[in-house]
Amino acid sequence: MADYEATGLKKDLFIVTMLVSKDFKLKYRRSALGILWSVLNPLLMMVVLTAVFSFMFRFEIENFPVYLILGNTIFALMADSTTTAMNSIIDSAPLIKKIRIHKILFPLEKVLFQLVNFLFSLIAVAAVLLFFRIVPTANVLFLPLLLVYVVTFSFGIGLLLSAAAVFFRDVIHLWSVVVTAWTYATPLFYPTSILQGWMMAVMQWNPMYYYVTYFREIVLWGQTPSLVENAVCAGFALAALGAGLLVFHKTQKKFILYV
Amino acid sequence: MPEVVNTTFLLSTLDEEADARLETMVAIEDVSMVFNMASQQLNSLKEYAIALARHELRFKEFRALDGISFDIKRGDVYGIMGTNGSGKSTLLKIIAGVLEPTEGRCVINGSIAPLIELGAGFDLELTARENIYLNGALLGYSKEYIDAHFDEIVDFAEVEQFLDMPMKNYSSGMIARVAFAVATVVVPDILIVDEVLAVGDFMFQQKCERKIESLIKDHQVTVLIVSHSTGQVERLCNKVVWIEKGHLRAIGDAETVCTLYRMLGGHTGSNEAEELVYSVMQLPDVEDVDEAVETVAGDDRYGSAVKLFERSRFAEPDAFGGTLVLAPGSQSSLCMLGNHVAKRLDAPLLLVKENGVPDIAARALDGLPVKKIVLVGGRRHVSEALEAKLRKLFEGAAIERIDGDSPHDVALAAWDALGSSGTTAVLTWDGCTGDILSLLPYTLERDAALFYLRDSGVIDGALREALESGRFDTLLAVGGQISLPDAVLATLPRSLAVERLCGDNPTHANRLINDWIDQRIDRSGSEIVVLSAVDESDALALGTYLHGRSCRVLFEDADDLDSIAQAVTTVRESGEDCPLTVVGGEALFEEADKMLLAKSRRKTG
Repeated sequence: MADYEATGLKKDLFIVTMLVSKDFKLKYRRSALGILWSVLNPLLMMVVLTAVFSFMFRFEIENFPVYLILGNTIFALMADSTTTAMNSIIDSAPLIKKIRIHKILFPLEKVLFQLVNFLFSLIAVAAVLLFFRIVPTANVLFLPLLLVYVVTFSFGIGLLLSAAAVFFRDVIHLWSVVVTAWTYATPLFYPTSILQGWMMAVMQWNPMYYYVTYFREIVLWGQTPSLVENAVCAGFALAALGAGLLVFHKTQKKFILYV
Repeated sequence: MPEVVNTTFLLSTLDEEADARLETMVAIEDVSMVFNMASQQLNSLKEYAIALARHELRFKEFRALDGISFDIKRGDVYGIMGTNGSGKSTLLKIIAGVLEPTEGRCVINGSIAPLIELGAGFDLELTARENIYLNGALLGYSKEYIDAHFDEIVDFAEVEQFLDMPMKNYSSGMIARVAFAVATVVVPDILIVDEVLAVGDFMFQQKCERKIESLIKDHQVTVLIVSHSTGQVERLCNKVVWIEKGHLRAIGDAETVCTLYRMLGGHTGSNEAEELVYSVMQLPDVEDVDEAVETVAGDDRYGSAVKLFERSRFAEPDAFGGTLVLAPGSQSSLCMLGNHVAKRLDAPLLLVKENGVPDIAARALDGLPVKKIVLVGGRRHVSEALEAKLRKLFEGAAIERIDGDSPHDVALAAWDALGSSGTTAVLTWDGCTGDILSLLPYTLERDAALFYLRDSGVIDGALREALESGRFDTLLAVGGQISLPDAVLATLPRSLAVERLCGDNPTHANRLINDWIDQRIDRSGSEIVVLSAVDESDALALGTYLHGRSCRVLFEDADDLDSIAQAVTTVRESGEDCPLTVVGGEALFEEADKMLLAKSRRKTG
């Protein structure tokens, strides 16, 4: 091992840091408000959706804007992570073809980048909470745990998609449809109370339902998530990660032939 | 025509004993790389499912590398040569660890710095500073190392003033400089260089070469270089491996393998042809190629015609009789007629442009006592403007024109005006120049008359009249069934013996014609004039040179081993003393090609 080389994990960490900082710089380069958009974006989104659902479709939900922004931000974290991770391998084709590098770093970097974005959007969440004079309880300390669940889950799905997209580009087109459908299938702007029995049964299989509910419980409703809830959230995350890792590892040697 | 590229193993000049003492840095053990090429592109799930259901998922196997084995020792500077698509890059990717071989394995001992493609991983939206860190990270450097060597990188790349400018505003040379600087700031155990030295300006290329040399000399870095430039490889490398279509062809010291590659690399031809050429290459070099093989070549066809004239017997004192024949250099068929006209008039032939006399020709003619000028061709190809210029240039000289709109007309006009003393007529089509050149030694010696068809497959009235005039007893039909069908030739009178000369390709036709002439004229030991089968424009005025000489015209395609082999055989059979002359410039015949011809003349053991 020569003196210039960073070893194993440290090297990979440095690469991921550099890639995340690259994505970050590129995202806001040449925009006047720059990084402020990470905060403004969820806020404006919330305003639009609140307007739509307060005047056109009314649901009896207390603190609707807070309900909305919590669901939207956590869902966006998953949706953006999986979508960018899905494209990460194809987009890194020039690198993969030329440099020996752990390919798993590319989807991982995308998910971490979205996590950074999410952390900025928390400022927006805090602003809305402040506006509605909601003081979170100590339960908000569960947030890091929730993020571990969601990031792990998104990373698993991202791995699966990124590998699949290399071999079948259709996946890319299909996924945007799936995400849209998933947005409506998850109670982001409606209460679960409007769902009929069979719909509720289906909802039990929607991981995002649990993550969204978890987020609202700890921030909005000040409830402590039960052990069962935690187990379900962790279970989905680990299942996704397991499947993702398995597929990715089995196929990654062939990537270079298809990208 | 199927391309035949030989892939058999030729030689190894490795010193196994000396190598065994050195540490192995890269061990390539029986490495094969097989790609599954889908016979059709299946890029969507639907197509895939349909193909699967129909059991139509077929794959064509493509072996990019086939059983490659060799060791790279510490301190070796290995050049990898091969034509495009021969598997060089695949091999480099396997060594760099990017690709996994299908069979065999590649063991690396040490750290690798790949320069596989400069700037992989650069994001042009970012500044140079940001890119240096990003690229460094991707190449596996630690942050501390980049911090410590940042100035060194910037110094080498010479981009200090532009460090915080987005790289999309950089020139490609600047990008290459930054990339090279980042990649070579480390002292790796193994450095891989893939044709990267082709970018950047001359100064930068030299700087890169110096840097690589210093890595080699001062740090005993093992280097792998892929390049198409045999010169660069010979300069930098001590060992070279030559790969062709995934097979190892030769391995060993740089000079031997480079010479071999220059002669055989990428050439098509049969195994036997290659063996013959290879066996000749094994002979010791001729000391002075330029002395052994005379080269006649000007800057262009007009210059070459002058060069031929200067070496002809007309250049001797008092040999010039006062008559000069001029033909338009852009019209090959008119030039061929010019050769015959010139012979008939015992005059030299030079080439002119449509509207003027090329400077080089004017200089050569300066001071010659020209009394009569014969122009071959109508006003379309030899204009009145040219005629006026000639009048000015050679005051008092009589100017005659052998007029006609096409080679057919001009040939008949020449026949009417000059006749011929020979009893042989040659009939061919407009465009068949190579074969007529091959025939020149015979047709000029026998003062044959040359005729051109007006239309393919038809002997029209005027032509028939000339052929049936009773002056000829033999007709040489130069051309195939399309231009000269048997049925048409059969309509000629029986008193005219018809012989057809036609080959499958220029080289083959050349051999047929030479064999045919050898049966009629004894040319043993006579001079061999080598022309390029690819481009005969340098030899359009060959007749002047052949005048009064016994010669054999040999066509050679320097890229075709079969053609080279035939030339080698011919030269070999002609004996040690026969003079060799090559007509054509560097682009057609390289030094190595001439060396091969010179060597062929040697008596073999």
